[in-house]
Amino acid sequence: MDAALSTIRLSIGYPATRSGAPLVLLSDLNLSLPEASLTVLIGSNGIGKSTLLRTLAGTQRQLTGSVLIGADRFETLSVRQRARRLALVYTDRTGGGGLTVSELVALGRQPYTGFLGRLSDDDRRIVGEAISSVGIGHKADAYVARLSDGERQKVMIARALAQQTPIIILDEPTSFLDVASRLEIMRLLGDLARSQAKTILLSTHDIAPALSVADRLWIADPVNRTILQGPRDALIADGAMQLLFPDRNIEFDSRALDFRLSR
Amino acid sequence: MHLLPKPRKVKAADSRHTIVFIALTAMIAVLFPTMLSVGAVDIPLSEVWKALTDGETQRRSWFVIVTQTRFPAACAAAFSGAALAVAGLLLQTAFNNPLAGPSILGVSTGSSLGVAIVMLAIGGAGGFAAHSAVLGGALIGAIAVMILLVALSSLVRSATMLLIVGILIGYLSSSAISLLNFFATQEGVHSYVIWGLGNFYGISVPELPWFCGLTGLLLILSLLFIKPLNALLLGERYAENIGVRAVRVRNGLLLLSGALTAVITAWCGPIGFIGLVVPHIARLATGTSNHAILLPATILAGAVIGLICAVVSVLPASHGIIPVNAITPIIGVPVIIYIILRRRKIFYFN
Repeated sequence: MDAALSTIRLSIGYPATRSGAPLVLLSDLNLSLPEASLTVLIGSNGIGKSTLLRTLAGTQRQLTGSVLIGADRFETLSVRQRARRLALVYTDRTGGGGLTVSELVALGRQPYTGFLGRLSDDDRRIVGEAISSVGIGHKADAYVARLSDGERQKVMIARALAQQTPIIILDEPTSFLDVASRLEIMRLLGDLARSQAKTILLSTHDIAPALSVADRLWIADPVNRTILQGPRDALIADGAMQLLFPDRNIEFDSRALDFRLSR
Repeated sequence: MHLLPKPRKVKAADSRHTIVFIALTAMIAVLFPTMLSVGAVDIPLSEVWKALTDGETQRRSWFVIVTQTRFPAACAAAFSGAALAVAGLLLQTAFNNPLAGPSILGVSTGSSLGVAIVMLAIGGAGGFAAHSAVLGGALIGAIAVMILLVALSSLVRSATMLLIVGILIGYLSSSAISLLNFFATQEGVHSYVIWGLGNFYGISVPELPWFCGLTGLLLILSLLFIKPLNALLLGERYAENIGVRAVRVRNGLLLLSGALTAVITAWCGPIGFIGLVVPHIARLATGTSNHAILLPATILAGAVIGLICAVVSVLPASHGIIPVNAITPIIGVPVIIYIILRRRKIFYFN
């Protein structure tokens, strides 16, 4: 299977400053995201999940190694070319409340539109499809400010779809959502990976709903400062989930697909 | 420049925008001739028309008043209002802060400092050379503050912190102005204080094409930023992800709004509140944050507010002219209070 995104001996963290040595969060990563799959990144707080996602998305420089999108090194792509290859969705609520849902989703077309941002009929059709595929077609003309947090996050996902990138990376997309929205968004992402052949990578602490839709896992191992990757069922069967929280009094229940307190 | 999907059926939002544009244009069409007609001497509109077209008015003085004084002042009011309003909108979006504006970021104050240095140095002297020196001082002052802000923006990445830095720069400039005043001659202080009150009568007929041309050019430049401005509504990280070089765009917006403010401040004095308030008026009227609609609406609304201030300033007729800066807060403060009280209900804050 071809990799939509891969890394070669990648180390991430923060470079040396005058006062101290470089802070290496995770090192020697040879990761890959197979095309049209949903990969879930799991790890404890502070291990470097967000830093890894930022490095993969090109918004933070790696310490060493490289990130490849398809066959291209990320650094060689222009901002606009990157925008056509990889779309991002973040945790926090954004501005843009004064736009309608379709205006906000249409921002995803910016990498394709001209200097003034005028939309073609094709752009409008793509925006409309993106909005209906996240299930908020009936709110297309509503102000984003009037939506619930869950609907708002669906709008941001629709914007990422309108961007028509092969890869979508989401950093804890469900953190501030209620349980119904968390489940809906995970289901939606799983469906998009399959029906629209998107390569999706998301980090999350919502273990059970994420595992239920994941094809593959990236598990951050805090002892060796690296990431274990593989198909979901194989990793779970190998007990890789137990590596996540070595010093904590919890264990993974592979039937419930979630952690529980150790007895 | 429609960013709105589904253009086939005309939607309520589209017709609302059309009504707002027609209403604003109509208000300009009424206010501009009113401004030419009223003042210390009331001149009938028919005579105003004659003065502007064939130059034959009942009284020779009317021709002079209309063409030499009121027409330049009306242009100054309309262009100043539009330019300051756009400067405010660009800063509000660039800093993602509804309270940003040219006077808040220290740009107007920087401009004032430049003018203070020049005026106090030449001590109230008049004439063309002195006038040009004042213009130069205002431009250099505003652009210096903007360059400082742009330089700091690469160090201070948070937009809110940069806004605070701007406020601090403003305080430093005012303190420098106070010190200069302390050591200056009485004539110098007097002419500086008069300039600082703000007025639309400082532009002579030969200067008018320069003023209007420069301001118009900067306003047209601002229209080229519509696409990245919309991207910045989502914050810099999302803007980067849809292909906008956020830092470069923000620096461009800072320089453009600095230039707009400097040109207006040089000719008309530091006029407050218009830059802060008009973008909000335009958002509330059009009901959108989409800059494809909002930016043109802000230009028109700014011109309307500028002309209203100018007309109000001549209401005392023979008793003189009210300083512009005494009027803008009366229009501005109620709007700001309304926005603060209703912010949870106003669509674009959430």
